[in-house]
Amino acid sequence: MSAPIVWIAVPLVLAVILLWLPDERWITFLGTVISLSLAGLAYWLPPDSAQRLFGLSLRIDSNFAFSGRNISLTAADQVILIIVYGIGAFWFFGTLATGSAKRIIPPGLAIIALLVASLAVQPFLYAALLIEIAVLLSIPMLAEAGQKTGRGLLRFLIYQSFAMPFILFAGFLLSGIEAGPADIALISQAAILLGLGFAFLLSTFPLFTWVPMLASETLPYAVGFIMIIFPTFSLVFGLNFIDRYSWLRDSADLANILRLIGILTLVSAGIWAAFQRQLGRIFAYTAVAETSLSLLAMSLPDRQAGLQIAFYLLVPRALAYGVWTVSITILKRQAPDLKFTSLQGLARKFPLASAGLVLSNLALSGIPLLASFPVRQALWEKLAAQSPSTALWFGLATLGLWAASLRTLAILTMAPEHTLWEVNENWSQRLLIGTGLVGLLFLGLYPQWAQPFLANLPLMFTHLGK
Amino acid sequence: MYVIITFILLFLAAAIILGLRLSRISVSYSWLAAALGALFCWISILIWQLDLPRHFSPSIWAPASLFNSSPDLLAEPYAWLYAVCLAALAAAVIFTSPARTSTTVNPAAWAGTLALTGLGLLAVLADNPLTLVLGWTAIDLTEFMNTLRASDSPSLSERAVISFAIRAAGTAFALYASVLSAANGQTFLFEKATAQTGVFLLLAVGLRLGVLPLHLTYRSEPVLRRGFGTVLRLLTAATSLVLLARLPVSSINPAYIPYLLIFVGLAALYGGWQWLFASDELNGRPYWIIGMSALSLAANLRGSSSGSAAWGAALVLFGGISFLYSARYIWFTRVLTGLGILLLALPFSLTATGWSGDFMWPYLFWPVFLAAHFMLAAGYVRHLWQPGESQYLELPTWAQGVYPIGLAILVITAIAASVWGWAGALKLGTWMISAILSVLCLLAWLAVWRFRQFAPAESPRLPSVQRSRLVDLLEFLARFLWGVYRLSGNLFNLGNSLLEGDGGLLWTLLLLVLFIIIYRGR
Repeated sequence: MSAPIVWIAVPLVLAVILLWLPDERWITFLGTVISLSLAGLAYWLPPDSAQRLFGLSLRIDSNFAFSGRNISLTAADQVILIIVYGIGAFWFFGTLATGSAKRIIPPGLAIIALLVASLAVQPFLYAALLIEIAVLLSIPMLAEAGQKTGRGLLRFLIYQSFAMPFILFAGFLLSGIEAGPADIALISQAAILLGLGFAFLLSTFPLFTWVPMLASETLPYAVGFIMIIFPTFSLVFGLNFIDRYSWLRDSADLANILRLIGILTLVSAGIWAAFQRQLGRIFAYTAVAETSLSLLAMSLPDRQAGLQIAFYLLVPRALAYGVWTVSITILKRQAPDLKFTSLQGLARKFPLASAGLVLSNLALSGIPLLASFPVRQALWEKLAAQSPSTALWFGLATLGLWAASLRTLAILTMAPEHTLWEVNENWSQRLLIGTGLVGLLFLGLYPQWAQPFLANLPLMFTHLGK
Repeated sequence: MYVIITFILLFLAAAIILGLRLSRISVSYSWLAAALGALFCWISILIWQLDLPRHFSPSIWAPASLFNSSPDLLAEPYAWLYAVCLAALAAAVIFTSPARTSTTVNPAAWAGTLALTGLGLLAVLADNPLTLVLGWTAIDLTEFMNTLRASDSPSLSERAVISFAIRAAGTAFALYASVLSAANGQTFLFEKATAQTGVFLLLAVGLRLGVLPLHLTYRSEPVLRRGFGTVLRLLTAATSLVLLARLPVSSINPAYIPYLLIFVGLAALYGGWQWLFASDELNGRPYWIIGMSALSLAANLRGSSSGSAAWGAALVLFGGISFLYSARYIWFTRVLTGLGILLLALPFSLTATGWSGDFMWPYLFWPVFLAAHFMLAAGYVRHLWQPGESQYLELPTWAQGVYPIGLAILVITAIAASVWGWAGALKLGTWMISAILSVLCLLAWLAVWRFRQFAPAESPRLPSVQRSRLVDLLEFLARFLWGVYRLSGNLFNLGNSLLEGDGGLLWTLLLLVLFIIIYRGR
């Protein structure tokens, strides 16, 4: 058995089977179990290592040849496999509280498998094609059945698709650079195309307009999944580029550009978030801000610390997105839309969903005690050591995100006089949100949980990890 | 070791109360568990003195390449002072609660008092800013949730959010101080605070206390009266003030001190005035906190850590006495009035070091702060002599037995802290000031006795006028800021509609091209 079959082909096949199951609960449980098993397997039996079970020696090979291309998942990919399938399991289990399992789980599992393939394929430029297929697969998840396609979805498709030609063309130029690395003009052109490709892929400033549009018109839980999975893989894809090409890795401009784009995106997202009056849009801007944090982490001169921060951010981010979008989905059922005017005072009727929404929002804003705080503060301090002005802008953007959280809090708690407190969430919703909130608190107080994962990062990137 | 015992006692008692409540066993057992837990906690903190200073690390954040510091606790004399005051307050709240049973019998509030005190102890023991902001946030969230749970009006909910937001802004200042320190390549510790970072810490404390700039989030708080409300308000103030005792003298740029003193002086005068003329002690509570906190901040600005801690301890202990003394008895009133001499900065009293250090412009600032001090002390005595909620002799017999114990714990703590355990104990202090204050108080007492000017029935008129002016000013300011916010919001929404409209794609690409041109042109 080879690793690409286990972590790519098997989930793809299972995703198709899940699509045909009639019962949503079964889809939820099976999807969760499949994803969790794949994450567990990556932890217990990473590629190219052996384990004994009932006297049998088990081993998963790393390579698989397909259509003349080599697909390879090595032990170095263990961290990312655990993280993405773990996120998948968490997300799929959440459909127990939000519903729409059939709409989210089968395409979700296939998207994860395709994106894992994008990391594994050699030559790795083919990743752009696989990412594009994953984008296309996400359309059934995001489109509302029986309704006209929203503009946000169209723009998501356009912007993500724009990335592919830029990256492929940059790849074409890069093959020339590998042959003659002294060609400065070629390097410059490749760098611009690559930058544009990743700017579209990661939805940086000013290319993030599709995110709030999409978040305000479709299922929040599906948008949450897209916003955690796509930027994560795009980031790893980008890191692979930096790791592979020495001219890019050693470029003095790279850190400056990453820092500039990161802070521009963060500040614009933070400020725009502060003025929103729709919960979906606040989530969207916060998600954009999160991606920019990863860019800022990658801009740090201490590459290893930058990598650690970028990967560390993933788990609190996934947890907070999950709790946030489950909570929004619950509240959305009680109101005609997600505008502030429709949600006023709902905290008295849905206290747990409201707490989940506000606390996950605060967590992603970097408030102390909650999940993102330790690593966000570490990033802020490391940025300050590089550029005090960037640190100041970082602080202002954070204030914008705090303002958005506090406005949401104010709206949700302003119930008419003498409204009694009720708990209207069902047991699965209470369990999910409650567990999520405990997780947010735990990650905020004990950031050392991530140390074993972070210790394996140097394996994943040959040069950046050193 | 003793510190850990204290936390175990607190959380064990809180857990027992919750267990008893879930099993629907009589409320009296819950009270007993709460009272014993709080009493033993207070005693255990007194015992900390055997083992000071003591350092603890509840959680070591790793990897060290990312995290400069981890949550650290340090039991040292100033932390001990604040801790013993908070424990005394918690014990007093629970022991005096039988006197308030006509209004509330709430085991959850007792459990909440113990848990909140636990969080407060964590905050006062904080050995670095990281631990302190974690403690602050935990307390702020607890306060917010409790206020919200107890409120049934939208305006109070709104106030709770505003209060939380202002405190969060204070926390943000502390975090920014930490970032500034990192920019200079330093790990941020209290003892390493520089003039550059110290001012942000001072602003953090001032903002959390409502002193810098002067503001009042809760104008009235009918739902959180005595008991839990007292713990919540005083604990929040104490956990902010503890920072001042830990900052080095060099942490404030001398050039800023006169300006800061002007703001602090105004806050002290305003707080003192409103406290003195408040209709009752509970309505005056926010002003007591502002006034005493301002005196503590002023002591810090004079470079006196022990002075700052003295005012912080007095805020908790004398505030506790004033707010928890609900069932009146003439002999208690006389004893508690007599105890007021510990508030006058007399030698060997709790506040003896309250006036240590020198003001920059003494002729301007001494009279201001002296007047504020006088009004706060006079207000304390005045409120003791007003009719309370009930009469002690009308309480049930068992309540008559335990109620004085609650007040006695505060009194014993005030006397003990005057003579033992920390840098400000058993000090001569600035006797000239205490002499002036004593004379002023004596004259005031004679005037009252002679002219009966401060009859409770007449007093409410004055504060209502004064308070409304500040409230009007604050609300004008809030309206102005809200207007600016909305205007900015409209501008950003216009930008949004351009980028997300039909031509949005082109606008986005235009922005992108401009961005590339500008970057390449640099």
